[in-house]
Amino acid sequence: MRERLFETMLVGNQPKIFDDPSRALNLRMARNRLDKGAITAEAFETELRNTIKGTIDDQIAAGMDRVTDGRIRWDDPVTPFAAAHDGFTIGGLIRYFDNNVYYRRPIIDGPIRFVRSAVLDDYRFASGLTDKPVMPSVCGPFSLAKFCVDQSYSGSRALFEDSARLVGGELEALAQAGAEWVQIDEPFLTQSPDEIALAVDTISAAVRRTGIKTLVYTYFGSLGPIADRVWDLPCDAIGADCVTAPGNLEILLRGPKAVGRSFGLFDARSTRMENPRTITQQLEKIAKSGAVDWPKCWITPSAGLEFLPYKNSVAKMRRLGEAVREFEGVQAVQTV
Amino acid sequence: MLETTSVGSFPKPDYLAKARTAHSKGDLDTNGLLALEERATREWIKFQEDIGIDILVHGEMERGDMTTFFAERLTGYGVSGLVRSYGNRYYRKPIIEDVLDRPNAMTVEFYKWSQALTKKPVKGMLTGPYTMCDWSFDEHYASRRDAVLALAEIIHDEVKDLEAAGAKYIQIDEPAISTRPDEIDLAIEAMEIVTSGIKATTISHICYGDFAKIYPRVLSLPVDVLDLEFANSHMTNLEIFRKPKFTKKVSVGVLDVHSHVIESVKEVKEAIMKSLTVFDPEQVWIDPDCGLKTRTPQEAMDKMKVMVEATQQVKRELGLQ
Repeated sequence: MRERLFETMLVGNQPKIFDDPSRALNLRMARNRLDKGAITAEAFETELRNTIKGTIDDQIAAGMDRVTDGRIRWDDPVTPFAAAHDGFTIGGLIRYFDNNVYYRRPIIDGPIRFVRSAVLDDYRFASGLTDKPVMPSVCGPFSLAKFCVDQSYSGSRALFEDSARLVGGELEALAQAGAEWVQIDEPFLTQSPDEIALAVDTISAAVRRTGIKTLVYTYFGSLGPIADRVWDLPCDAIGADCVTAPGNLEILLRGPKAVGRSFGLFDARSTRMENPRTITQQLEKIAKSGAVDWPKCWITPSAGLEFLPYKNSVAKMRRLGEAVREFEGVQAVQTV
Repeated sequence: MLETTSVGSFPKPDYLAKARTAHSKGDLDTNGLLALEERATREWIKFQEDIGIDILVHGEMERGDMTTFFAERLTGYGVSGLVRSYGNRYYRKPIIEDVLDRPNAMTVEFYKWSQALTKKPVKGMLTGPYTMCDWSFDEHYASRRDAVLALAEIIHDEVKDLEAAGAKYIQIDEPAISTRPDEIDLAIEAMEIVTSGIKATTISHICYGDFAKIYPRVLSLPVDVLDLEFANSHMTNLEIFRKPKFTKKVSVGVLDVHSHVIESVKEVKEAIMKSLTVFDPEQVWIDPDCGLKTRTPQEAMDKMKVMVEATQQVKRELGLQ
């Protein structure tokens, strides 16, 4: 049984610019200057790392128990991996699920192979900035294959096997660097329910023998069509967006005791602030479902807060931190 | 046949980009900015005339982005901070905070002024109600449907005003329409309100989504022309429209607006010819994939010249003059 009922954390990408004149950081401007040759790559890297530090400072100030690097280096969840490893070229723009956000869809035009971790450097940098545990994240092997245009494997299982080996390389690198947990993004789990067996096999192959605890987070869609199989995933925790698909909360509650959960309760895609009563009711429900016996129970936003303007993202994460602390405080008093 | 046009925006010349920054800092008054917006519009209209474009756009020199521009002219909207749409591109995603209303026409004066610069038709340019809603935060309406239909009434009024001002072509962009295929009926219902009773040729631009999920239902969108992006996907999207038969006019995007590379005349000709294996020549207009505002002015001009030259060669070769 854990000492704390809940742990707060962010999932996904955080805003890369701080809409705050008192802070000099502006990664957008720095990137424009880099593109025009007005600053060096080293100067841009300094700005980027300053931004990672800024997002971690914000998370700590908001009371997040575990922090992330905010994926400040990533334009989207897939191209950092396509750029770092063999077998990909970057293709045309396409919409990122049901968002007004776009990514350049990678094209797989050769065997995909692990080359060098896309995330390790930022994980190490972030870990050096804080005593709090840092949650690194990677694109999941099933979604990595699904995000791309396949011009090399003709849709065969070999694509998913190679994708699993590639992501396995990322997980091993993080494990060797001392990461306790890693978040594996698998948004296509809920978008391609007919392929759940393939997804389970692919994720299993990636996480095998890596020695790192894994949180598989699904984003945006409903777990309903895969509710019977989702617990077959060989991961240590499963997380889902409980805003876009409110039924995900009940599905997560029904899982086995040995698997941790991550509940995306705060709407990362709306500036509307959550009703405190609704959040309290949800936390009560989770608490009464035996959360204290699960290995982990994270409360998070439903997705990355980069869908919001910076100020709204900070307000949202503060509300998240306050709501959980307040709830746990009341619970502690009642226990006493 | 094979009329040439553009989707909407052109890049702002350097002097205008600097002026907009100065205006936002209070270092340039609104009249000073307007004078430079008009200068840049005149330049883009002349450029389009010079290279032989058939249906012109005014180039949107007075607009930042296609949602915020309208949000700033409607009551009930607040404008928030920046959010990223892709790469290093950001926009101020507006917030619906109250009942929406249109105190004045939003685009008519600039349309009339632009049209007076040329004898060729200039398109009236609007953003559709579904996209306006989808690209806004909503803190007021009880449902997305309520917000979309409220916006539809407002945009209908603007379309009527543009038509009354003489617009023969009115484009109501709905790039978000493929975002949620389960909501396409709502987008269609809203567009029925927008184009109700309108005699002008209506166009709707859709891009960067999964067309397969909305085809053929999107043919029920009550506009005359669907303007679609194809070059971004190397024309592979065309196959989606082969069956069932496309029943509207189609504006075929043949220039990748997100690439610095200038297409060759040969490449664009091949793209046009490929589109003619799916659509009849009578159905087809030719244009870039999307607004060209993200390119440099020189890149945009070079791409447009290639597009016109390629179209003219195809027309000559196929005897479509």
